[in-house]
Amino acid sequence: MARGKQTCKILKEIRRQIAEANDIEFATSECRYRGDCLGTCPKCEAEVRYLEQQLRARTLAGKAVALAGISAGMIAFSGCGGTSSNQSNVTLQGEPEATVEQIEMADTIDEGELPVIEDTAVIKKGEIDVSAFPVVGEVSEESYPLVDERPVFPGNESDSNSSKKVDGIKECAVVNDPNLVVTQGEMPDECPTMPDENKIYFAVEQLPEFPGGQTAMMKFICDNLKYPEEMINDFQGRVVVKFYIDTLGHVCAPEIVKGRDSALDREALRVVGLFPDFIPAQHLGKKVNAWFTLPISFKYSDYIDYCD
Amino acid sequence: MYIFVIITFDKWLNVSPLMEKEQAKIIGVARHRLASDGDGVTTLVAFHGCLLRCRYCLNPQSLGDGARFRDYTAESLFDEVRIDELYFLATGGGVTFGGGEPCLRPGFIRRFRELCGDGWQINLETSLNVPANNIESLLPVVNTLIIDIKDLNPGIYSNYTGQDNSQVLSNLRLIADSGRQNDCIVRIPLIPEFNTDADRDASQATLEKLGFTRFDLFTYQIRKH
Repeated sequence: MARGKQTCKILKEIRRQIAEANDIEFATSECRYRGDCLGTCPKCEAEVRYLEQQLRARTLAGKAVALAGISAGMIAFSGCGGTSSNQSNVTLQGEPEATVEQIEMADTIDEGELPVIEDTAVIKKGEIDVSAFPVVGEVSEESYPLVDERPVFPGNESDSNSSKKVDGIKECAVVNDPNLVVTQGEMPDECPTMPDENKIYFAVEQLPEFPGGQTAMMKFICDNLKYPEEMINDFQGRVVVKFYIDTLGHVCAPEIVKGRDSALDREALRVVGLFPDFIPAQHLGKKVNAWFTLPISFKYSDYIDYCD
Repeated sequence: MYIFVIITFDKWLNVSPLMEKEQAKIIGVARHRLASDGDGVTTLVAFHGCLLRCRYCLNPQSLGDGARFRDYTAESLFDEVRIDELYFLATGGGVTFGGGEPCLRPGFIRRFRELCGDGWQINLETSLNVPANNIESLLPVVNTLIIDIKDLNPGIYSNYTGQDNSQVLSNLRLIADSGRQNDCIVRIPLIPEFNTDADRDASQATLEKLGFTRFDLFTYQIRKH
């Protein structure tokens, strides 16, 4: 398994433990991502934001939050403990308490899963809510806790005086597969500080923005979407359109990633094709191409209040 | 009156909100490091700049004047890495500063600690070949120091890094005098073509006399850059 997939599995297990420890309803759906996994993806990030939101709500409600160290045993530092007589450096002082394989066995959730908030969210009246759904490539400003709103989790004191032995994988035990092992202190090539102008980013510092913002986009959709009359009140779902915004703000390569009906799919693509140029995404201080996924509700009553 | 004016100006300098924030060149921020750079989920932040010129440098992009870095303030870095706070807190992880040489940026790291609070682990991956003042400044705000001593033999050290290691030795004593040996993991590498196992034994023996107990013995990977 590639390193990214392993990382994804472990992070997912941490999320599951956080949810379980705090009685937060948490479920995932099957991952549909087929590309190289970097260990996280917008859907994974959306789950983290969801947990943060739930924990913040618990804190505000005066409920206890269990967080500090609840998954501490999962990941043991790989600092080595070999001896000078161990020139081959293959003897480790210990193994991680939970291996990736163990986690896989204990967890039937697939990597890069769709977060529960996508599949179980109830669409409210009038909603064509972009922010409520994990947009591919989105790590939105709304998703980040602002400095002043940073949740304060109790009991997060660190144990700076721990004298436990270090254990785990060691640099010397590295096999020649860069996908499997991370070398201590090495900055991987996939973490450049300068953006790649040819790349289409999933996660960016500043998302592409519809001119006028989300409300304007909702109104635009309401004004332009032509709902097939014969399907009024018969169809309650959404069509999900994926496209990317290039560095000039153009809407590029729209496609249906979750379709419902050919007529509805065509209509969603038609409306997206009418979009004006967006404000391009920015990453590391430069304009970049960025993916954007837009769920469009075809629940007719949702639109009445928004359309002119 | 003249003295009064000077004192007032000095105070203004110290408290002015307009005082420029320290910036640091950072060559990369790698999220979700598991079991490689400290306990728990860690984010590796690698500074640009190092006084050493190690033959097998792991991050050569940290050297020279190449454009592969970005300027950060502690505030902008914190804003970027806090996205993983949930993982940090749940796993006892945090941020590991490497490089380059992180101990060249004590002010930046101290400010970062102010921002992130005590809940995050802050680790350093350092050679310790920096002024003692820097270490004194950093010790109160870091949890773990991962120290790559190269080799304590001055000749071997100089051959491999191009620098003298007297500062390393004095900083190791400083840490020992502070009683922080248990917060250190001392890496003692076998450096192909530069030292031997006997050299490493000698280094370890010296370190043990100073009270260090956590060692990481490994072999440098020779990479073509």
